Amino acid sequence: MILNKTIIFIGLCILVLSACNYRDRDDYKVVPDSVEGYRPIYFDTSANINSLIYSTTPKPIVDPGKIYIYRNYLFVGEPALGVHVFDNTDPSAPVPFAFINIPYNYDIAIKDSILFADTYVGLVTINIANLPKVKVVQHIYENFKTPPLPRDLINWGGTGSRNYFECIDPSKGTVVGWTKSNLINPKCYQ
Amino acid sequence: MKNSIKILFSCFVICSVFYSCSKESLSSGTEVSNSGQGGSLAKFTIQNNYMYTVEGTSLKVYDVANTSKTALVNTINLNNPGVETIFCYNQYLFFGTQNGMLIYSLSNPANPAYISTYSHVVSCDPVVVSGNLAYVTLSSGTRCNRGMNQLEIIDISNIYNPKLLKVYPMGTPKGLAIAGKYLYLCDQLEGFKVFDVTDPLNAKEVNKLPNLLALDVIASGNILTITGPTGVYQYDCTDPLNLKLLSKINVTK
Repeated sequence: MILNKTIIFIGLCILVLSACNYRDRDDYKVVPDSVEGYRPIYFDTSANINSLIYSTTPKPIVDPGKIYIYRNYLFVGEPALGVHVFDNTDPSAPVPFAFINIPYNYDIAIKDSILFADTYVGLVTINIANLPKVKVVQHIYENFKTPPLPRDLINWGGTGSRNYFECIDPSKGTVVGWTKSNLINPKCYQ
Repeated sequence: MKNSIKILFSCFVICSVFYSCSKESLSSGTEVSNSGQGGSLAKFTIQNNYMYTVEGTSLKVYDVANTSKTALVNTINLNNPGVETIFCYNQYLFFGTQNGMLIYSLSNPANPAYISTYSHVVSCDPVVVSGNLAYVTLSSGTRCNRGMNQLEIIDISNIYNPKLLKVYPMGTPKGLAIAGKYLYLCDQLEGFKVFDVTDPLNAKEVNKLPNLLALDVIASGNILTITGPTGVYQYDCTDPLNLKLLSKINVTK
């Protein structure tokens, strides 16, 4: 009798476990119906990058990226969009000075009034001696490659959280960046 | 007459070359440089006439002696899948990677040479260096779920054999900066922390801004520039035990 009960119990366990396995395989429960993730930005890589790099009046910071200090200026990246420039002569009152539009830029460095910026088509050098005016000096081409998925800055949920993204469809063109958006039942994650 | 003008002109050219060289060596020795300063999460760094950038698994070397004629002069495979940050100190490049710290020598600045690796568990981490010590933060960012959350102080007095000196548990530490005996550490949700690292075996937390969601920091003179998801903050750090907020640039969501 006890043996029978044990067998039934084990049988039930196997049934439950295998049901879980089945669900796993079907991505049921593992992939959420709707989740915040990243959607690839496709781009016509035949476009001339020089026409995409220009300065505008200051813009509000939406997603502060990397920071860089050069002389009296403070640069704050806006990931994938460009760089905010502040006149930081008085650090207690930084003055919004300009926004430099640089598509798919994440990192910068500056020497002798030349700003080096990464873009989706390699390194671009920009003369910033006459800020807020800017002028593209050089464009050092490199091979196109898919930029890495943006990292969520903080792992709010502790362990186990995933970075979901919409799977890349090469027929739509070259992926040059990622935009945060609500994804329905995404199949790809990192 | 023509010849003497030529000779005079050549002398002038040679002299000006020497002058510019000496000026350059002066500037590199006194930190008054023609390049700017980035945070510890940077993937670009300029050292004298070269810019070093990290792209995926590669280190790229650009000749920027004449910034109007920048040239890619070298691409080096770092043989590491996750290089996150680059930091230059005393003719060495330090890379923060997902599984450790890589050290390259700049004895030949156009062709950085591998020196050593300090390995740790898979994690995300930047690195800063001062004297014989490297400071590495490890955090469990999204891509590095298995990671630990800690500050590691590494003895690099033997650059060929870096050794772990001490581990300090942290929240989710990211960017950091070292200035004199103070280590500034962005511990994200736990705030911005100041450590006195006079004794690396007994680093003391001497100040903390618990409400500052800090991600990266630049220490430049008396000013700390701190960035995070809520804005860009500047603090007067003349007295690191008593940081004074100078300004905040707000984020518009």
